[in-house]
Amino acid sequence: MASVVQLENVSFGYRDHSSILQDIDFSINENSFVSILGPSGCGKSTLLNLIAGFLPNYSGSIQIEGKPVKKPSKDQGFVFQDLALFPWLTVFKNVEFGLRMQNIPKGTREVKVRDMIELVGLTAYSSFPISSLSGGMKQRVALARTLVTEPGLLLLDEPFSALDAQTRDVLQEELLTLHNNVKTTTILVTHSIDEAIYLSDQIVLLSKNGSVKEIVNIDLEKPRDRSSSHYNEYQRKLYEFLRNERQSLNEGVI
Amino acid sequence: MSKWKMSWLAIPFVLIIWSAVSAQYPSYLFPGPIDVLNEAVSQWQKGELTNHIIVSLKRLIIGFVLSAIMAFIVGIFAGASRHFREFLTPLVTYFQATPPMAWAPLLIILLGLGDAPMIAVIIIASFFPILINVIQGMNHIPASHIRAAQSLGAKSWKLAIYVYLPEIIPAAISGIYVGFAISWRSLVAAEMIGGNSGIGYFIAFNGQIGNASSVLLGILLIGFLALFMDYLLLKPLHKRFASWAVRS
Ligand SMILES: Nc1ncnc2c1ncn2[C@@H]1O[C@H](COP(=O)(O)OP(=O)(O)OP(=O)(O)O)[C@@H](O)[C@H]1O
Ligand SMILES: [Mg+2]
Repeated sequence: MASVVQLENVSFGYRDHSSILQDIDFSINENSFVSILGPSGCGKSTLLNLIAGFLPNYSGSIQIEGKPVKKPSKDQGFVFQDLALFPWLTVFKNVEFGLRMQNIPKGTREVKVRDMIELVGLTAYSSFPISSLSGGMKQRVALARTLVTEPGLLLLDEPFSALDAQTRDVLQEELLTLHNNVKTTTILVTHSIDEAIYLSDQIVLLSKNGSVKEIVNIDLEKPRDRSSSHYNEYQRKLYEFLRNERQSLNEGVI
Repeated sequence: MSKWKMSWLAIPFVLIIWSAVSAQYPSYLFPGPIDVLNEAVSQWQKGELTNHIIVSLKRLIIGFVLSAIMAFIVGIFAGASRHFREFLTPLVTYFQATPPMAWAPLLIILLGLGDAPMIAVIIIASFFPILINVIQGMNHIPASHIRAAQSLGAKSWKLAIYVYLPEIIPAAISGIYVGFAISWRSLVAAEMIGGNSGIGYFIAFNGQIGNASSVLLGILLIGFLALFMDYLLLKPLHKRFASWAVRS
């Protein structure tokens, strides 16, 4: 399988910080679902922003389909931790935004948008302003807005972290179905162990010093049985990883 | 019937006090409401006052629209460039501290009587409040909104029109409210000191010939015209472009 995303020796620091990410090396195969898991503040969002082209001043090499990443592009769809929906637009217009920017003719555009809104179950809310939606609905709009542009790579920054457990389960399920159908290569940032195991083909473990600790392949059929012993083994392994990270963090403080 | 509001009492209250106080004076010194109403009718029949009102409103609208457009453009550049913002800061502070109508005599010497100096006063009065608000609006745009738009394919002018502009409009409209009030008052004052037309001139002229009813009529009109513009222009503007900012 071809690798769509390739990181070699990637290091990065914000202007006023020494270094956030160090010598990141991994590649992601086409159509796979990869999670980035690590303790809070270790640089998960930063890494995803690098891949999206939002932070072009990194060292090393990041390539998507063989081309170096230099700036944001419509080929890298991004769903933000804070959703970043446009509050002055309705649900329909939010979802339509990308196609409009890409000069898709009105007729085609409206059909695609309508279908996508139906897919995420918000047809009745098409003409509603964003502020009138619940958290889960906003989440769906954010996903729909990105998915409708059919990006080659889907980047998700903790899209479900602000939701209650039930809504999160439902949306995880939907994301899984969607990935099975459309097969868009997806990178998900999360600090939920369960979310990572349930959804991913691979999990990149990022330690608190901003380097890749390990890349774990999840060799389980999807959809996965959360009560199976294999599933629990993975859970134990990742839990152990996060616990050690927390411990070394505390020792660092002392 | 709609619900009773205390605000319904305000104007009758003032009318009663006004009638009571003015009754103590001869009407050529302190005219009462009835005198002013009579004056309004006779002025309406002469048509001269109507022309003054039209002249003032025309100046206000031309000056204000020019000013708002310039403030938007300069504000967007200033919001985008820290250097430009630093350059502008002392100018903004300086002009904010000077009463706009203090410029009127110089502008009249420079541009003559008529519309040009009045429009210039309006621009000086409203440009800076709008500018400051546009800059503030620019500074408060969430970085994720810009990034989201970029990763959805928005570039250059489309990014400006479809993201920057709607983001700054609520702040800009607050600036427009402030600027509007200042420029209306400054315009009337400027017309009073050096005009040959406009509602300010009407008041000043009637003051000189001792026509107290016309002076009071003019003062009342200034307030009513401001209310009128608020309902007709500013409120709909806010409703159309900025109501989302209130809701969210
Ligand atoms: N714009 C920025 N400027 C400077 N430092 C930043 C910036 N954004 C993040 N950082 C710093 O970089 C480090 C990594 O932040 P990042 O947001 O990538 O972590 P994270 O793993 O996504 O955390 P969380 O799980 O809490 O979202 C943190 O120490 C943070 O303070
Ligand atoms: Mg994060």
